[in-house]
Amino acid sequence: MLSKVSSFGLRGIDAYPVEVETDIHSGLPGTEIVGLPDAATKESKERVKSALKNSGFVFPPKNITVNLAPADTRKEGSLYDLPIALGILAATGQIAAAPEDFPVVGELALDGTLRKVRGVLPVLISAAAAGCKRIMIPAANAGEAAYITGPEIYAPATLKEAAALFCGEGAAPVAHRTLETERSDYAEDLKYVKGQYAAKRALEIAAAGGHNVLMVGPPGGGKTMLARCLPSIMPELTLEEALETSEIYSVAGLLDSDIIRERPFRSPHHTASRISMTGGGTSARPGEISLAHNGVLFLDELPEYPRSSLEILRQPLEDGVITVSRAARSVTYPADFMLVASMNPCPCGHYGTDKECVCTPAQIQKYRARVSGPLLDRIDLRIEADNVTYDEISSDETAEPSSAVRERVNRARKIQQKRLEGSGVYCNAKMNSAMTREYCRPDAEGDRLLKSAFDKLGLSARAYTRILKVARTIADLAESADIRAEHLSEAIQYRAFEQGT
Amino acid sequence: MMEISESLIYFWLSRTYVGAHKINAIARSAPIKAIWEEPERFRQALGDKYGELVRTRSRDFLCGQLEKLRGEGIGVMTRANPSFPERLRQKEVSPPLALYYMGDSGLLSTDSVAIVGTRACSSYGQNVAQRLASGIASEGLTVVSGLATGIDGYALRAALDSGGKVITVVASGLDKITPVSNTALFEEISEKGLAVSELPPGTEAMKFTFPERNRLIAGLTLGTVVVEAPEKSGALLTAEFALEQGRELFAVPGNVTSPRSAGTNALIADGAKLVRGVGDILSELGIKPRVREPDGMNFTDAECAIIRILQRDGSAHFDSLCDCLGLKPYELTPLLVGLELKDVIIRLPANNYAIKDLIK
Repeated sequence: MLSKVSSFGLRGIDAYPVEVETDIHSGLPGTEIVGLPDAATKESKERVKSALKNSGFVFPPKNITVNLAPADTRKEGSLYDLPIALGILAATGQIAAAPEDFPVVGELALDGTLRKVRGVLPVLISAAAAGCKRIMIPAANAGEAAYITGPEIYAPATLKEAAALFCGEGAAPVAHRTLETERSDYAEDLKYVKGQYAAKRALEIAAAGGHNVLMVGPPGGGKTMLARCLPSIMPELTLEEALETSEIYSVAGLLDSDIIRERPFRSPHHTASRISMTGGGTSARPGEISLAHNGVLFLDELPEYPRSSLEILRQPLEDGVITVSRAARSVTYPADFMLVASMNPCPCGHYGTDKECVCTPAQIQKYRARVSGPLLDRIDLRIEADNVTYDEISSDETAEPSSAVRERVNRARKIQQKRLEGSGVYCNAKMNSAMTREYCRPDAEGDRLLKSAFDKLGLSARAYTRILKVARTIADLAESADIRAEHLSEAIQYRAFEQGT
Repeated sequence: MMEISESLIYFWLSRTYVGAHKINAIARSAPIKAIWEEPERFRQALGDKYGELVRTRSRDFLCGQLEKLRGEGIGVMTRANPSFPERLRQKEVSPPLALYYMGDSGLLSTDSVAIVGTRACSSYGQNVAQRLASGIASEGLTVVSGLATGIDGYALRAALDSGGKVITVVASGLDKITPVSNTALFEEISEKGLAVSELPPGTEAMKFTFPERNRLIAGLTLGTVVVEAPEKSGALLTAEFALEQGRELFAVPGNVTSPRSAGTNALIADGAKLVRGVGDILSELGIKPRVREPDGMNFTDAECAIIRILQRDGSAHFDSLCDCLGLKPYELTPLLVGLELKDVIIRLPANNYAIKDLIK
């Protein structure tokens, strides 16, 4: 007998439909899985055999062929265990014929329980997009399911339950929930950071407009601590952004019982390998930059990163995606993050502090020159951080909490989203030159100020555009439709490094 | 014997680099013309250069050489020239035989101040050198220094950038200047100021040419300012020359824990004038600072408040300015930027601000 069970396969963070066909015929007992299975998929047959037996079913001593269609695409992972098992049950008549349009994914333990599978979220999203009415996933993955609208999502815990569901009996589908992204208990909060007024203000601007930031300051935790506070003031994730990010985490196997609801904060060490940064490799897992999608990528001690690692960032900073090549094909992962980098003011780290700086100007120049090129061009704001002590106990005079800052940031971001609606861009930092020209016109006084700054400070044309975009964000924070001189002034203050300064 | 000018004789002598000291010694007992007329008389005194001197002893040849140099843009001013700087004629300087120059030789007769220091200076040294140089230049004095990296280079650059008058004295021929990293600076000075050397073109810089050059830097100027120098610095040699020649000597103090200021601090302990700003230099030289009116600048109340705090405390941190004035960061920043653009304050590292001028 022949049975057909629908399933899905993963390609990067996209899922595509896979049909699992099972044919039983006479001949020497043996199971053959075809359709370019990888090692884990080939081993399915062993797991399925034991799971079936231990669930009270019979594994037929016949010649079994399982085809995973389309046959010319490589199949990877253990998620085909469940559809193969159900296919065999249907083909041997142990359960009723497999229902149409009820795709199934899941890994089987030898005792018949269903195990968590990575990449379930993209599968769910693709299924919903394809119009599936029902879909079955392991119970261990149920946390990912709650926010998908469309199909009824069933999450059995064992093979037996799964089989029952296939026959129309069994538990109800997973309940739908609406996403709440309001969370007031971030680990790091600005209210614990004393002083640093200028840096905090600059981070607020960066968060509101999605601007990339370079922090310069002495070693000692001020910069890192400020960077870690950043997710607590960034605008709320929209449902789309939450799902996008969660898909990536799902594929990376990092989703627990819930989807991602906070903006991610990734800080790869400067000794991290290329592969760990970009993703790819034999298992095509997403890298650090994709795990930072819709969040913050923090590069601490930027001059310590090898050129090759920084080169990797060129494509994501430009296009918001990273393409990694694998054996026969390439996979594209989303990688749209806010870049935050930190560095010392000089090699010894004490320039500008009370401690003596023992560097010569030539050494300082050389150190600064290590941060250059495409990366520097992408930095919109330069912040100087002072050395601060971290107060873990809330004292009487706490500073403004992150939640208050976040409110302002959210408001400013909504203004941007409205202004840029339909343009494919959702924050000021990503505006192209046409948009900058249209939305960032300074008034007459502002124009005079810019000219004076140009002459006195020797700004380049690129610096000019950056200042305008940052000024636009500052104006949005002030809820002003026009960009006024004081907004431009502030933007000039936070102007980024020019090459060679 | 054909008539030959004294000037040409000096040129003849300086070309072979027989050395000003040797000639000055000879000149104590014989007129300079005598060397030309009877070189054999001085064979011993002239040493190993005697042969070359005799070989080049031709008026036509020498005039041809002068023409050639002129063609390359290099002028020659010998001691016989009435425009030769008076201060360099002083016996204690051991006057050079001739000066090879590119640029405006008129600068040699201006009042000038030397700014010297170590090559391996700190950011503090760089900062002060730049401030003093632009301050002195703004007062109409000429800034003089060597072409070395470090203090010399920063001082010359700052003086040029302020539109001031600049002389650099180099320790090699004008076509063999070092360090290579200051080539652009040298070229700019040859155009906008004056580049000068005691050595004929083709001479490479060597260990002993540097002290010789330093004596000229001290000699040309009214006084020498040592900005930053460790204990065994070449800049201290220039200071010594200044004292021998009866010039004013100034030194900028530094942290007592900083080895880079050990030399300058020692100079002060030994009597050099302590420099806190351009005002200290001007008052010692008896020069009245030019009256500077900020042109038509009106400050708002808020700006005045900021200026007052900075004048009182010397410098202030962004956070404390916010707290003192009761302003939010985004209210304070535009004010600071405005004052910066008006050239009244400067931004220091780590979010500190200070009043721009050091002039009292």
